[in-house]
Amino acid sequence: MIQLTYETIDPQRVLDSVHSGQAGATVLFLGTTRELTQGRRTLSLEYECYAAMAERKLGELEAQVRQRWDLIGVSILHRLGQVDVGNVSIAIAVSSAHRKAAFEAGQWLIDRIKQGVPIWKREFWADGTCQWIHPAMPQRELSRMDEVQPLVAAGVDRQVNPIPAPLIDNLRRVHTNLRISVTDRCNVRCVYCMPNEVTRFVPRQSILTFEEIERFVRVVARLGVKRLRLTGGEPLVREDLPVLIGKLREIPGIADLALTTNGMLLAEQAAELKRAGLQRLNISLDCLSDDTFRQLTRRSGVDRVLAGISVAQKLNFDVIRLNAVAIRGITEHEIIPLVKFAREHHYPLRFIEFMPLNGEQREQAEEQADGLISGAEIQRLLEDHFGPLVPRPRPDPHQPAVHFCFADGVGEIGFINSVTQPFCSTCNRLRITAEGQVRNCLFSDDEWDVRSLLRSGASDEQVADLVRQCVAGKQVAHGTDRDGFNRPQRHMNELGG
Amino acid sequence: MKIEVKLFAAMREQLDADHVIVAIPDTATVADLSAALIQQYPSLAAWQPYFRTAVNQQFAHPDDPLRPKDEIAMIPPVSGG
Repeated sequence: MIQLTYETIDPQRVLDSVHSGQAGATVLFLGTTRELTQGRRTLSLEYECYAAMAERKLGELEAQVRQRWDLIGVSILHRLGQVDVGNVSIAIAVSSAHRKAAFEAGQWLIDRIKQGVPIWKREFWADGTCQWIHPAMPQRELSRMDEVQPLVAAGVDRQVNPIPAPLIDNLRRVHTNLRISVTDRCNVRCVYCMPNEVTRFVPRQSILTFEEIERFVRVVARLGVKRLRLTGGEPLVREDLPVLIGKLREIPGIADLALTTNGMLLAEQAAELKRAGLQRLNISLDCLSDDTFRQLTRRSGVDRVLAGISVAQKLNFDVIRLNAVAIRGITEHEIIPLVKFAREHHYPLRFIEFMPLNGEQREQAEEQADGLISGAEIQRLLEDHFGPLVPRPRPDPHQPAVHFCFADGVGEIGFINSVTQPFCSTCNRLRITAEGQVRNCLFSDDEWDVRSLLRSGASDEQVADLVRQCVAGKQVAHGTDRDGFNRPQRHMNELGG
Repeated sequence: MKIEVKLFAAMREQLDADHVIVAIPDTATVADLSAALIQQYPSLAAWQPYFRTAVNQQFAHPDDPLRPKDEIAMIPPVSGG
């Protein structure tokens, strides 16, 4: 029996699988997760594999071991997914007429499996860090990679290493990810974000300048922030965005520059954004038909978004992902066509659970049983149409999406179940609004006023202290599912959702 | 031809993508593909001495030619078992 499984390994079942009346000897090997490695305490391991090749390789190993020794039963079970300390990651059982063959074959198998089967483990340590284990990679390279390789080599500015007092809250969440809202303005009016008649855009002088944003990012980069995502409103309506991107790209310690956009202005701007240093794109696409697009965004233009996606693909951004929000009563019929589109073009697609935050939509949502189509419901819909979804390991423990691919191997789907499966415990995100207020959570009303500091001659250390206070004030979870949750006073466009 | 290259573990995390598409000439070899991959994604350069290429689920030799329908994966040092 050869199996890669997400389920707990039952040693008895493994033994039973090689049982035979002819066997004089049965050997069982269990590989278990050790607690201490080089002085660091491990909490758990997580395994992923290249499934088709791993199964093939294990099958080849069974064939080879049977050629070398006279065996009766051979079983190999390897875990995938999370395995806590003390639990079994791999089980090998061998039975033979005489014990020499069973002992030797068992050892041979575990030695070979460790060398050439495409399975990888990631260790999660008690200090809150984690790392992929890639033997023979120089540790220096691997650590840098796990922290994501900076765009500017660390040698250029020695201030980056070591990082002084990183941004850790009292739940040991390390904040390495900053969302920057560059504007509260937008060129659409999605029903789930902004009211149609917006009466309170922030005056331009209240918005942080590029120099102010750059200075803030330099300060938090020295505190360990490595990844930036530009949002808004709609970030592409901010003039000269490539100039900001160019500045941010040069900041030592910043390793990743991403953008979330509705895509309407992407066709025109993509080339310049890429040249300026933008690497990754999330494009919001809830539907393919302009009728539904207009119903959702109160504007026409889905073809502009599709053109933008197409242009971006040709420019070879590191990653292009589609984000879709499914709203009961509006987009159900769009889900399957959207998934087909994503599969056809190999765009990873994530469904984000609709969170009613906006005043108008709140009332409408409450009428329609909250407007929420849960990730689980969408998953069932997709499985009815496309067949079973195969769970994939999470690419990044801080990234909230639950990942699947399709049984036919084409395309990949994620679900960001912000409402039904909150991911607060691994949140590593800080936000700064267009007006220079720092927030530790999309759904908290607490803000820390960095803009005043920046405009009153405060030192970098004072700015850093304010950010640390903001991190220290972070709640356990966003609490939108609890009674008594007070929705933020602001609309989504002002928060950088 | 455009080849889909599967990525895993830390390589996948680094690019935040479980596959990328690389354009190579029709007569390209495995070695040519690796070079093109690094050129397209310079941040993967540090991996170059350490990853192996798998073609159709078998480890490949750098001189092996590639065909359009080949299944390609970059295999960083493994840590199963």
